[in-house]
Amino acid sequence: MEYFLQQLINGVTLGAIYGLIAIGYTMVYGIIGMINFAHGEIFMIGAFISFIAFLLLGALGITFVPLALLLVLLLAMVFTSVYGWTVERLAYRPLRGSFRLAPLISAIGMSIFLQNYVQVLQGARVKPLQPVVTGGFQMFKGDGFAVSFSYLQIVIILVTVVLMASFSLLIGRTALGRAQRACEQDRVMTALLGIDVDRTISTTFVMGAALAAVAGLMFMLYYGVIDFYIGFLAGIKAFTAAVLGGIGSLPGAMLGGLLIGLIETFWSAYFSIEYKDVAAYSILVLVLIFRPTGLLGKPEIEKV
Amino acid sequence: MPAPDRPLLTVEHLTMRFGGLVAVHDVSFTAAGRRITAIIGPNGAGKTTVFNCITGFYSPTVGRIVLHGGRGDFLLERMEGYLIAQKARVARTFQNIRLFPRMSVLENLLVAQHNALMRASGMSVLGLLGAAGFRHAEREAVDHARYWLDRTALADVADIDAGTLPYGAQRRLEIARAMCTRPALLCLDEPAAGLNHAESRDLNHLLRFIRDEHEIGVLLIEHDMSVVMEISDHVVVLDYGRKIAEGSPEAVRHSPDVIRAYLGEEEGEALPPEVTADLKGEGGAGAAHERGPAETQ
Repeated sequence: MEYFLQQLINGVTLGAIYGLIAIGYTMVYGIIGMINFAHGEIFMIGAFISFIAFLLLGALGITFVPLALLLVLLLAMVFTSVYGWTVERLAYRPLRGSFRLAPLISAIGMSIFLQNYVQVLQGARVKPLQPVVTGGFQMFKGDGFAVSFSYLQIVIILVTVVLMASFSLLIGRTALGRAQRACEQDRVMTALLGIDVDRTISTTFVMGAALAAVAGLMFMLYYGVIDFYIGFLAGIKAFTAAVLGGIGSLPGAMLGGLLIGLIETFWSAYFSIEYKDVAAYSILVLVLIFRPTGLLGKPEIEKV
Repeated sequence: MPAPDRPLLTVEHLTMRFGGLVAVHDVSFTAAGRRITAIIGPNGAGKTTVFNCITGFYSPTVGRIVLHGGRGDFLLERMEGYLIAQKARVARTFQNIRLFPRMSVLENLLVAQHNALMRASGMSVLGLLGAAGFRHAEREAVDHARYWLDRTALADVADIDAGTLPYGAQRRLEIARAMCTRPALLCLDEPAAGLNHAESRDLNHLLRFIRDEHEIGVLLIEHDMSVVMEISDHVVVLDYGRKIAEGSPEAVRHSPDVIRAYLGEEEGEALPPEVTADLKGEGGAGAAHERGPAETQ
C-alpha cells in the first residue's frame, strides 16, 4: 500500500511534466492541423535556459529559493517563447499554403538544427545542477517503507495545476482563445472577420513554448541533469500523451500526460524498468485501436 | 456616415483573368451608402468573382476598388484580407454558409468583435486577471450580440452550437455575425438561396432594417428575382463577365440586353405575357431565369 502510494505520487509528478509539453503539441495541432516536431527541442531549450538562469542568479547572489524559482520560471518562459515564435516564423509561416508535408519536413529540420545548436553552444556533456528545492514530508511510515512527498513534487504539481487551469480559462473565456478556436474551425472566415490569423497562430506557438519552458524547468529540477538530447524522448512521450488524450483537445492532453506518467511509473515499479516505454506505447496502441480519436477527442464528421 | 448618394464603394475597370479565362472584364460600378445594390446575372457571369476581389480573396488583374470610409479612402485591391475587414470594415457572407459550427451562436457573434475585445483586454492578459475595463468591454460585446440575436430571431438558441441550427437560422446567424463586425459595407452572397417564401420575406425585412436603421451600404448577389426587384435600390447586371446594364430595378427589368441575357430572346421578338409577369417579380419566389430560354423561341 505504501509502495503504491509512493508510486502514485511519483507518477503524477512525471505526468504533470508530460502534460505541460503535450499541451503545446495539442494546441498547435488544433490550430494548424500539423504536429510541431520541433516542440521537444523547445522543451529542451527551456531546460537549458532555466539552467543558465539559475547559474546567473547564483552569481548575482539571489539564493532565496522561492524568489529564484519565480525569476527562473519567468525568464525561461519569456526566452523559450522567443524560440517558439521563431520556429513558427521560419519553419511554418513561409510554407503556409504549400503542400501539407512541407512544413512537417521543415519542422523536423528545425528540430535537428536546434539539437545541434545547443550541442555546439553548450557542449555534449550532461549538465548537472545541484538540488535547488530540497526536503519534503514523510507522510507515514509503513513496515520499513516511508512514503515521502518532496517539496519539489508539490511545487511541480501545484505549478502545473495552476498553469493548466489558467490556460483552460484563456482558451475558453477570452477573446484570444475564441480567436484561436475560430482559426481552428475556419481560418479563411476568421480572417474575413478582421482577425489577424498569422498573429493568432504565432500566439499559439508562443503559448505552447511557454508551457514547454515550465516543463523544461521542472524536468531539470526533478532529474538534476540535462543534455541536448532530452527533448527527443520527452517530446515523443508528450506527443504520445497528446494522441492518447485525443489530439486537439486541451483536457485530453492533460489526461494523456497524466496517464503516460502513471503507466511508466507503475510499470517500472512493479514490472521492469527496461520495458516502461514499451508499456506506455502498448497502451497507446490499444487505445487507438478501440478509440481512434483518443480518449477525449471528438470524431471528425465529414459531410458528403 | 456617408450621405445616401455619396458612393461608398467604387469599382473601376475591374478585370480578373485566370490564365486564359477572363472571369470579369472591365466592370465599373458604384455602391452607395444607405442603399441596397444588387449584382445579378446568369450563372457564371462573374458575380462571385467580383465579391472575391472586393473582399481580398483574389487580387484583380486590372482595376481599382476603393472604399470611401469615414476616415479616408481604402484601396481594397492592395490590402490583405483581414485588414479589409478590420480597417475598411467590409463584411461578407457566403453562398455556402461558413459559420464556426463547434462554437455557440453567441460565441460566433463575439468572435466577430474580436479586435475591440483584444484592445480592451490588453491582449487577453488583463482579461484573464479580470480587469474592469475588459469586463465592461465584454459586457458591451455581449449586448451588441444580443441586439442582433433579437433582430434575427436567434435569442432563444444563443447557447447552442451553431452547427446544429436549421438552415434558415444559420443564414440569419451569418448575417448577424457580419453585422457584429460593425461594417460600413455588407456584402451578401445569395442570402436568399435555399430559403422558403416566408424566410425570404423576413430576410427582406432584415435587409431593409439594416439599410435604414444602421445606414450602411449593402451589396448583394442574388438569383431570386423577387428579392432583387423588391428591395434593391440599384441593380448591376453582369453577363459573361461584362456589365450589360445598371440602374434602378425598374429600368433594368425593361432593358432589352438584360432580357436577352436571361432569356436568350431574339432581337425584336415580343415576350410571352407569363414571362413578363415573372420578370416583374409577380411570380412569387420563383426565379424568372430558371425558366429555360426555350420558352421564348
